[in-house]
Amino acid sequence: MNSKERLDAFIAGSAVDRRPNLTIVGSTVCRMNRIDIPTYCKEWRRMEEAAELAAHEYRLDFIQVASDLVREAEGYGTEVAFPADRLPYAAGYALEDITDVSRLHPLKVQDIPRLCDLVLAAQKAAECADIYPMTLAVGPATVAGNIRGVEDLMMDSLDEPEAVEELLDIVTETSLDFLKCLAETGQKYFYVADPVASLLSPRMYLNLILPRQKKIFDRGRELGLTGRLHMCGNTTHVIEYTSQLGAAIVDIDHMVDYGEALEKAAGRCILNGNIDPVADVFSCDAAHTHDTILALGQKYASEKAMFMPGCELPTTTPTENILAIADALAEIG
Amino acid sequence: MNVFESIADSLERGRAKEVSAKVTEALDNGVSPEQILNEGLVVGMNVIGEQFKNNEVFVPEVLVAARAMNAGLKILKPYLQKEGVEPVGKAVICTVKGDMHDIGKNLVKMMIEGQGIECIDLGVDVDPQRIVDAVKESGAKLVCLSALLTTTMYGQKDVIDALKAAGIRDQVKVMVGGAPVTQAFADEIGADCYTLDAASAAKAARAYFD
Ligand code: B12
Repeated sequence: MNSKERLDAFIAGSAVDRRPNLTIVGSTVCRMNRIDIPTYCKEWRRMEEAAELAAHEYRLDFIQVASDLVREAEGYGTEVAFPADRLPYAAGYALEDITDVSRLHPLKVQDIPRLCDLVLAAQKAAECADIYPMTLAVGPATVAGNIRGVEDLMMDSLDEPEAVEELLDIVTETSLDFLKCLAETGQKYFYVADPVASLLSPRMYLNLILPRQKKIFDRGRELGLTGRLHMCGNTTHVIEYTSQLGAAIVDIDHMVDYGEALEKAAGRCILNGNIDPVADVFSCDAAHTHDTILALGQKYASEKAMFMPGCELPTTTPTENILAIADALAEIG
Repeated sequence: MNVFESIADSLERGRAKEVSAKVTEALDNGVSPEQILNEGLVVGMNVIGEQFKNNEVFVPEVLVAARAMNAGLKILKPYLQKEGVEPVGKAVICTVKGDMHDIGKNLVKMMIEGQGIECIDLGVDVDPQRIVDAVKESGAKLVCLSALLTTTMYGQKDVIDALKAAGIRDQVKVMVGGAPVTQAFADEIGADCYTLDAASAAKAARAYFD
C-alpha cells in the first residue's frame, strides 16, 4: 500500500497495512534541504521541496503544505516579524480597535501574496505520485486573533460580540476562497488549524466559532475535499461539537483523555493525536517515543483512531524520534 | 450584599467601570483601602482563579476580570501607599527569551499580586541577564518564569544557570510554568516549584513568604 491508498482506505473504513501517520512535523522539515525558517516561510518552492522530502523520510502519509499561522492575517495588514531562528509572529496588529472592523472587507487569495504561494506549493505537491498533500487553512479564531491580538479578541468577544462576528465572517470568506483555489489545483485533502478556538468557553465556541468552522468544512465537502481539524490545547469540552463539523479527522492534544474523547466523538469522525510532543517526542529517546505511541495504539487498537503527537513538533526534535512514530504505527497495524 | 461582596461580584463579571465606581464610593465612605483590596478585589479574583482551574470559566472571562481588578487597583494604590501598607514580598516575573506569549504570565502576575506580593514584570522575550539584574536591584525573593513554546522552555534553565553564575541562586526561589512545562521538566532543570495554573501559582507564592 502506498500512502495515498492507505489514507483513503483508512478514512473509508477499509483494511490498511498500518495506521496512517499524520504527524505535524512543523519546521523540522527545514533540515531536509537545509533551509532556514524564514526561507521555509517565504519561498514556497523550497518549503514544498522540504515537505515532500520530509514526508518520505519520516514515513508520513501526507505532505505538510504549511509553515506558519500568520499568512492570512498578514494579508489583512498585520505586521509580521520573521526572526532568523524561529517561526514568524504578529508583531503589530491590523485592528487597533474592534469597532474598526467595518473598515475591513473580505480578501481573496489573490490579494494575499503568501497565501497564493501556499496554493502554488499545494499544486506542486499534488504532482507527487504516492503521497497526498494536505494544505493548511488557518481557522477563523486564529486568523482573527492574529489580526486583532489574541488577548484583545478574547475580551472583545465578551464586550463587542457583534463586531467579533463581523471579523470572523470576513476572514472566513478568505478561507472559502482558499478552498476553491485548492480544489482547482487538484487537491483531495486540507486541514484547518485553529489553536485560539480552544481558549473560549464551550458556549462562546458554539456561538462564535463553530458556525464559521462548519461553513469551511461544508464548502470543502461541496468542492470534493476531505477535511481535518487541528485544534490543540484542551478541547475536551468541545469534542462533542467538533466531531460534528464534517471534518473526517479531528486531532486531539495530549491533555485530552483519549477514552473520553472517543466517547464524546461517538464515531462521527476519526480522532487523531494524543501524544505529548515535548515529553514523549522531543525531550526523550526514540525508544520512549516508540513505546508511548505503541502503548496508546494498542490500548485503542480496535477503534477507528489514529495516534500521533497532539501538536506541532519543535524544530529540533531528533530525527530518530520522529522515525520511531512510524515504526510504532507499523506495529499497531 | 455588603460593599466587599458587591465589589467582588462586579469583578467576577468583568465589569471594570462598576468596580472603579464601587471602589471610589467605598473609599469616599471611609472604608479601609486594605479591606477593599483583601475582602473585595482579591476575593473576587480568587473565585475567578478557582473557576478557571475547574473549567467553569475560560480565558475571556478571566481576562475581563483581570482588567476589572486592574481598574480597582489603580484607584486603590495611592491610598494603600499613603496608609503604608507594605507588600508581603517581591517577585520578578516574565516570559523567557524567544517567547512572546504573555496571557498566562499576566494571569499568574495578577493572581500573585492579589496575594499582596509586589510583581516586577519584565515582559516577554527576556534575556537571563536582565532577570539577574532585576533580582539584584529589587531584592526579590521569588522569580516566576513562563514559557509557552517547546522551543523556549529550556530558556527557564538558562535563567537558573544565570542565577547560579551570578552567585544568587540560593537567595531566590524559582517558580516555572506554561503549557508545555511539567513537574518532571521543572525537576530536571532544578526549579523550586511548578504549578499547572495561576490560582495554584499564587498560593505557592504566598506560601514562600509566610
Ligand atoms: C495565544 C497564542 C499565541 C499568541 C500570543 C499572544 C500573547 N499575547 O500571549 C500569538 C498569536 C502572538 C502566538 C504566537 C506564536 N505562537 Co502561539 N499560541 C497561543 C495559544 C492559542 C494560546 C496560549 C495561551 O495564551 N493560553 C492561555 C493561557 C491562560 O494559558 P497558559 O499560557 O498555559 O498559562 C496558564 C498555565 O500554563 C500557567 N502558567 C503560565 N505561565 C506560568 C508561569 C508560572 C511561573 C507558573 C507557576 C504558571 C504559569 O498559568 C496560566 C493560567 O492558569 C496556544 C494554543 C493553545 N490553545 O494553547 C498557541 C501556541 C502556544 N503557540 C504556538 C506557536 C507555534 C506560536 C508561534 C511560534 C507561531 C504562531 N504564530 O502560532 C508564535 C510564536 C511567537 C513567539 N516567538 O513566542 C504553539 C506552540 C507549539 C509548540 N509545540 O511549542 C501553540 C501550542 C499553538 C500551535 N499548536 O501552533 N501564539
